Amino acid sequence: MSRPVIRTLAILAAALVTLSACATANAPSSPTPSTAPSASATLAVIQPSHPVEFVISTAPGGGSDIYARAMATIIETKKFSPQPVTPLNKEGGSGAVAFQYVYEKTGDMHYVMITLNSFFTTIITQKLSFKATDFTPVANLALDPFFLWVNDDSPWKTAQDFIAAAQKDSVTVAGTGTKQEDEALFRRIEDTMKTKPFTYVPQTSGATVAAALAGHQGGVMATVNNPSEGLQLYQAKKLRPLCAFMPASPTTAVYVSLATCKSQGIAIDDYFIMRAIMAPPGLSAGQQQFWVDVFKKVYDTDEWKKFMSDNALQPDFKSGADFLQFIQQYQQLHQDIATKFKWVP
Amino acid sequence: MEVFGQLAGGFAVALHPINMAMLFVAVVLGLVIGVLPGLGGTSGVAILLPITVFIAHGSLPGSDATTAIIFLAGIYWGALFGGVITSILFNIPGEPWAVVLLFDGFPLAKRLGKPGLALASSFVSSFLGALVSTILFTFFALPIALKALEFGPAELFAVFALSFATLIGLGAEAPMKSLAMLALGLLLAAIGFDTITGEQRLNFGQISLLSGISFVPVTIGLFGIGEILASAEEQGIGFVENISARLGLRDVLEAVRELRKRLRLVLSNAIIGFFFGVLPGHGATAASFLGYGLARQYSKNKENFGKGEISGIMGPQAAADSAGVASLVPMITLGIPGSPTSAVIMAGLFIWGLQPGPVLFIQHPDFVWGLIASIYLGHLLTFVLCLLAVPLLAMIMRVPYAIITPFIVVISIIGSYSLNNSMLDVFITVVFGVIGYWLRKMKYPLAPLVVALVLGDSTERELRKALIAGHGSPLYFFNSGLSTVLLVLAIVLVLIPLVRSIRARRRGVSPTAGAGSAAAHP
Repeated sequence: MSRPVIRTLAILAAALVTLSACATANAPSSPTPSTAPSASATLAVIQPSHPVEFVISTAPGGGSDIYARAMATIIETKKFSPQPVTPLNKEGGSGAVAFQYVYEKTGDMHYVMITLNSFFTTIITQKLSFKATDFTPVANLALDPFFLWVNDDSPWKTAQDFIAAAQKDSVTVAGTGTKQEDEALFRRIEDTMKTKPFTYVPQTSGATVAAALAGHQGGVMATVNNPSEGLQLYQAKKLRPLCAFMPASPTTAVYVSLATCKSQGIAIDDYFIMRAIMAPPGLSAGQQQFWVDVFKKVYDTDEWKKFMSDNALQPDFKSGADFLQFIQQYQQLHQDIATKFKWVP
Repeated sequence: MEVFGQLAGGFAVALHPINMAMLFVAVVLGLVIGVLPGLGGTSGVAILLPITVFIAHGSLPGSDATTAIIFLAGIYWGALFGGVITSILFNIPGEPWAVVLLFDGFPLAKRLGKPGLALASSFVSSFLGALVSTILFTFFALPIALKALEFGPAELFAVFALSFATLIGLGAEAPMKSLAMLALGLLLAAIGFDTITGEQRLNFGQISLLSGISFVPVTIGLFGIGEILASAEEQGIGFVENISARLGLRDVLEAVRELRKRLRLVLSNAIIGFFFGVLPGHGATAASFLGYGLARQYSKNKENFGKGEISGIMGPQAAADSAGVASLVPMITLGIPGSPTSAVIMAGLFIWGLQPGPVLFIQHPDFVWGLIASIYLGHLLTFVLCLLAVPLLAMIMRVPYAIITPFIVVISIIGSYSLNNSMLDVFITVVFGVIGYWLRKMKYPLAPLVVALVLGDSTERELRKALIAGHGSPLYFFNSGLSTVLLVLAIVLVLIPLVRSIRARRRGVSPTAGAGSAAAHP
């Protein structure tokens, strides 16, 4: 064998070793036996004793995946956890696979999960054997607002134009998934403004929703993308936001002059996507507090603050009783929509 | 032209020692990730994402966000090349886009005893495909990405219909068996979650099945394990045991000669792959199947496909690599990732504090043009590394099959497990290994099953989205000129063999004209 060949082999071997090390770190860890002696637990510091899985209910690159990886990166680089916190995608069934997976890890603090509103809609519509309130709540780190978007060449200049058109004919709209937050918001608009039922075309991700609107794909005329999902196509002059479903106009520089939908006659200002952390059911108060502290530290970093402002997220830290109340309120809200629009028989 | 100045500036950035060093590390890592089945480019890039934060924030001397994206993208280039190696040598796909290489890559390597030629053919067509794609990227990124936005569900369905039509006749010596396999593939693809209605489907109440049956563990079982079971029985009949020792670059030169004979096929597949890659969410895997179908349609020797035909390697590989590069185009220009891997690279951009989109070109020209220049350099580097490795890799095939077999079983199992860290996938691999063995014995062609399983989900989704948009009218498909042309083309491709066989039967001749052979038939 010639020398460069040997060198190549050596590098390959070295790479293989590095990689298998990464792979091991990624491998799932067996749950800690629940029979841990409780006497020593009161003395010992409560913290994870082996690597932690950070479960993500969407595919790599999806909205919640990006948020989770940003958080995990901050935890890693700032050493907020004594053990590595490794992101792991468990996509499928609009989150059902991940929720089931984490639910089964009852009492094990080595699992945390990032959730969005599918945490309510999917558990309700898929008739899973547990409720959102069964999980141990950790914290909410941000609220992601909804905007009403149209194509840049749309004749609709204001939200009233859109509503007037929708009251006359069924407007074709697009959103992420079926019986999920985007459709929930459109059904609420339908209900509040007495429009004709929207023709709803489900897409696979926020990015494809924005693309469908920008390209007039399948006659799509409006979406309720998040500000970060529409930003690039807004800057490319393909999309235009009409209004924000928020109590006050957004503070992000690019969107600062955008009217609220409420001021334009659509009285919805209480619906956001939560960017929240949940843990398996049955964590002790101490274990819960460990994760609340970690994510509070994440929330307080400059990196997370910049990330929120870059992506036009509303900073909103909730934990403890506040967060629990928020979860109960959102659970009820989604239950009502599901019943009203016959999402569940 | 302004572009040349910007590209020159990009090369100045990419050739910076730290950027070149990280590019080299990345392509080597990417090759290894590509070779390991299950651990795909997407998960490889995702695992290494936290490291890039240190790179982007200057932890290495002279490194910045440009270094970080050159590093992440470099892993993707390595994986695009490396994924085919295990397909060709062991009949196990290293990456989703290498599945189609099981049809002709392994037969050429093992049955015809030319592993070196098979590998070199794949590498030269990968390189040429990527080169074409990168040139298109350099000059037409934004206008093409904007054009791709107009591709709606009707047009996408037409493209998928065309993919299916080009593959009609795979295993045509037994049309009913092919049809049965196609139906089985579609049935398997239907398992899981119905994204259009939001209902569970064919999962028997099993939540873990809601992710669907992924085609990677299925193909690892059908081809990898199935082949081992079948050849254990045959005791290697039909295999060339004494593969001649051909070290040196002779295989590479032969591959280049073969490439020159197929230059038109490879170039046109590269261009088609580019457009496919720019469409959001489909990427290299779907492009590789269309590339294979087109190679078969162009070919005068359709019956050689599935038996080790070089066009069956070069056609899909040029399209796949081109689509892989192209999937970065809509991500960088409009923030719409063209493939799962480019979606993870986009996550990287956000985490480093950058926003993709048209503003990126204005605010961070060094970043964008440095990346584009690094695509040229990264592919050149990967190509040279791969060619140097060809003789070594080919030597593996001289080890008696009996000794390699346990090793293949082990990497098959580890590969399916590491896909999702799930035992369910291992179970699927083993079950489909047995099914694959039985199907081989019964002489059922495997290719139609795989095609239907890979493309079934997307085809169904686009069909139903188009029908929702058209308020249930199938005439909606003929509203746009493009989808009309593609659909008519697809229908004609389906009808030609049918008409031919009916005519032949009337004349009393057996209907074998133009029939392709089943992939992986012994």
